[in-house]
Amino acid sequence: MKAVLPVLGLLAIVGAWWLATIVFRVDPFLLPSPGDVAGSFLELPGYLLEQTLVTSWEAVAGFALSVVIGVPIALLVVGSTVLERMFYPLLVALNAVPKIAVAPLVVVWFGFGIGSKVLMVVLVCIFPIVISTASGMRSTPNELVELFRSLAASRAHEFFKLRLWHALPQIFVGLKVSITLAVVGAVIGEFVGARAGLGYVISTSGASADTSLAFAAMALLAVVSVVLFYALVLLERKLVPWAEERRVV
Amino acid sequence: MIAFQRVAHTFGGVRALAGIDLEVAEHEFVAVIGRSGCGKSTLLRIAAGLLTPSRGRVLVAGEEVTAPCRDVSLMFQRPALLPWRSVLANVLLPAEVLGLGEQRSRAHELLELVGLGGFEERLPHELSGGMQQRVSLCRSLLQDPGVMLMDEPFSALDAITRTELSEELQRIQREQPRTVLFVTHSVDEAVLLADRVVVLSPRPGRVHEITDVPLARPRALGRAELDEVSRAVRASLGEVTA
Ligand SMILES: Nc1ncnc2c1ncn2[C@@H]1O[C@H](COP(=O)(O)OP(=O)(O)O)[C@@H](O)[C@H]1O
Ligand SMILES: [Mg+2]
Repeated sequence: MKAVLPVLGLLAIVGAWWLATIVFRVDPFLLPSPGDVAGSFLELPGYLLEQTLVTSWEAVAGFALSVVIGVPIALLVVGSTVLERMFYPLLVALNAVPKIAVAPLVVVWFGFGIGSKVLMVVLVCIFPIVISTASGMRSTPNELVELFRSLAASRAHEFFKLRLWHALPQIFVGLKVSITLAVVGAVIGEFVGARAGLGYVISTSGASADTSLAFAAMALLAVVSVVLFYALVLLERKLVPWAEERRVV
Repeated sequence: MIAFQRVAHTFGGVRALAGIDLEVAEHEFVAVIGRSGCGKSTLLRIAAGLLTPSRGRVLVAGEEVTAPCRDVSLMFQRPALLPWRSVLANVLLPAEVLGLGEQRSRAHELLELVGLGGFEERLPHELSGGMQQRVSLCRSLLQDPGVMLMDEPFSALDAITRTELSEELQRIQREQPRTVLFVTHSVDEAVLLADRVVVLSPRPGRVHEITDVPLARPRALGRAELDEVSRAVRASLGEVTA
């Protein structure tokens, strides 16, 4: 039943869009109607789904890689003041560079294949993951840290039995931000240089003035983002059931 | 068992403790009472080896405390349970961290002892505050410490739960006596539980007066003899808070 309202919202928007294209007789080259878009999709469903898979795979692989790299970076940063002083400002500076400006370079370095896309995804995803993990671990209540210290706990125990667990709900906040950015990152990579993927479809459809194809690709991108996002939400519900009830410290 | 020798502590510019001299004998239960901010928690953290005093030293079992050790457990005002762990896993934490080997059956016994049998697989947030503090007590006991440091362990609880828990603590103490240093705000609780009650003066904390509680156990709240001692402790507290 919870799905009813979002679906209604979607239908309302699509209906308004459709109505607008009819009432104002919009040129389909400028704004295709939902019908045109669906038509485009139905012309090449296999091809489009294939491109969807390419982009999804790039996004997921880059996202997974970001987790694998980002969490240990956060551990190091929280674990060592020296490392933090050395590298945290650099990380912040790196993040301030607009990723889109780096994309051409990334393509030059890693080619037109999937490697450059995955790297783009990592570049956009990793920062929110590092930040949320590090700040989650830092915000561990002093009482719990003292409890561990009073048990003569090692640093490893303090990190893996306490801080990382305590950070999990915040890590998920970072993951949810990252997963939507991941799709954006993949598309940026594909815009700059690729032979496949929904971003590639969009950029080439521009050249061939096929606006409804571009819209179909965008719709698919939206679907991919939503699916990935809610997959994470489900995972979060399974993994951190206690976080919904944060009465306990 | 515990000996504070001229223990003084200063945080930055703030003098928290000024020269505490206090000895707690083996299996003795000593309550510490004093205004908030007079350094009671600081005293316990020093005894637990979490904080190095600016001056003086603490001996536990004849050895100077330099770091936390297995034989000393610390219990806080709040339950300090790990919310992602089940009740059982919380109680077993000291065994895991200290490497005490298999303690499951003992954890079950302890939970049974405080009336939490059957709650092993619950998460802490499913329990009331009093039950959570009982879990925390079990966790302290699992370590089988010779010395228990308790920092206002019952003061966040309602009056009824508080009475229940102090009765349980008395019972546990009777079955297996340990050396306990127990910080509290409540004179009645101190007199009910302790062999001696130490009144600290306000910041910087120092020992103002020590009152013996020469009453047989088990004790029950509301007895006339207890009230007499309570009055003495209140008078002593009045001197320092006036
Ligand atoms: N980590 C700390 N840093 C600075 N000051 C502290 C710290 N811990 C305690 N204090 C100060 O030391 C004094 C004693 O604190 P505490 O031992 O917590 O008192 P109590 O437990 O008796 O209420 C207080 O004035 C408090 O503000
Ligand atoms: Mg205190």
